[in-house]
Amino acid sequence: MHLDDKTLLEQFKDPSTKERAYTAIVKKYQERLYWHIRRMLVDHDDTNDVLQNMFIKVWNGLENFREDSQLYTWLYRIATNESLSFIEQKKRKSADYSMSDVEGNLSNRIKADENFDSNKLEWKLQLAIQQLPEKQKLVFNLRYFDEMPYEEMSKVLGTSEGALKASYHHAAKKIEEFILKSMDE
Amino acid sequence: MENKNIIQQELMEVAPALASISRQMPFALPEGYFDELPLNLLGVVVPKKAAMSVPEGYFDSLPALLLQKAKASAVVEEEVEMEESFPLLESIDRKMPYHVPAGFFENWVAPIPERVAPVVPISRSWRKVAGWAVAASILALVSLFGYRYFSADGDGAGQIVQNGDEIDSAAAVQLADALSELDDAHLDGALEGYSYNVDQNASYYLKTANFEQALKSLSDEEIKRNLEDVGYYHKKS
Repeated sequence: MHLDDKTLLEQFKDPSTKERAYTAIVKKYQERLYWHIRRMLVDHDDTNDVLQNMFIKVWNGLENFREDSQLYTWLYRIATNESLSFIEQKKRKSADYSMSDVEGNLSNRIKADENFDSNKLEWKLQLAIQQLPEKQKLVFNLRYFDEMPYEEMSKVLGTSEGALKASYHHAAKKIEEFILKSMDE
Repeated sequence: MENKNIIQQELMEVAPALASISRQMPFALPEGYFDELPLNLLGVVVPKKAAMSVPEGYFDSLPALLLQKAKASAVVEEEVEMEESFPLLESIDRKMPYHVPAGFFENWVAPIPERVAPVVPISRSWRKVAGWAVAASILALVSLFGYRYFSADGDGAGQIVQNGDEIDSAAAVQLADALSELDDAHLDGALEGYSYNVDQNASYYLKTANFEQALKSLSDEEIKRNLEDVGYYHKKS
């Protein structure tokens, strides 16, 4: 059973319980944040790097965290920003690659997974998500997998709820079309 | 998180085919990954106190300690080098074999000189150089400013003339020749002459190497007299 965020934050600010509180925060949020990052980056090693970086930032910045927002919203925002920065860095390193090459690269990584099965819908869904623009991909993942309310998502992504709803609807339709098309083939 | 039913209903309206797909992620990850991650992260963000601690004040005393060790090491190296290069010398005791009378150093008093040490005259070689410096400066100034010219009248006696703005270069060359022919004794005489046979101002200028001012302050008679002193006219005759 996890402690509530308020208790964890109080413990983190006390030097005698700081490490224990940090460990508890990591345990509480690690899986959700791991999958949030991995849906964006696909590769486990990349995900592990970004997850560790973001939790190091949490250690350094949590004392200054203002409790006017929820802890998990703040954590998602850091994870999202770190993931987007990582993707940007990759793009810069391979300057000759276009965006479609990056997307194609992520699709190829999915297909290279030892458990990949092109007949299973879960894998088709993952391939379909990679066809989306970055922002739509984020919105779809946060809503579809993390079941995040638009209000919270608005705080994570800094976008209005209306725009997020529209993005989600566009993304869902595109994914459905992609999956139906692949089933016809 | 938001009620699953709300999200499912929303999805059914927008993309019904998606609503039936399992939300479970198909990706695999290393076994025990989430069990180890919190400890791994703690190892990164928190310095390992037990393994990496240093005694209190360690860095404050470190420079002095290192300096002491470096000095000790240098002495040892020097001794080893001596032993390796000159083993016989190194084997000999450094104690002096000589003896001094008992209580010599205790009773020894440094002698105080009764008289002030005599002033040692300036050496001839310096005087020679100084003499040439005086001669060269006079020649240069005569050539440059040209307000005093020397000419020999052929009877062995020198004559000093005022010559307006014209420069009598032959006279200057003649002076240079005369000065270059002077031997050491005459040069000494020249120096002596400038020291004692001119007025106080000229003497001061010469001593401070201000030869331009010295020449200006010398009268024609003084220059003539000094040239006679250094043997110029005597030699010409």
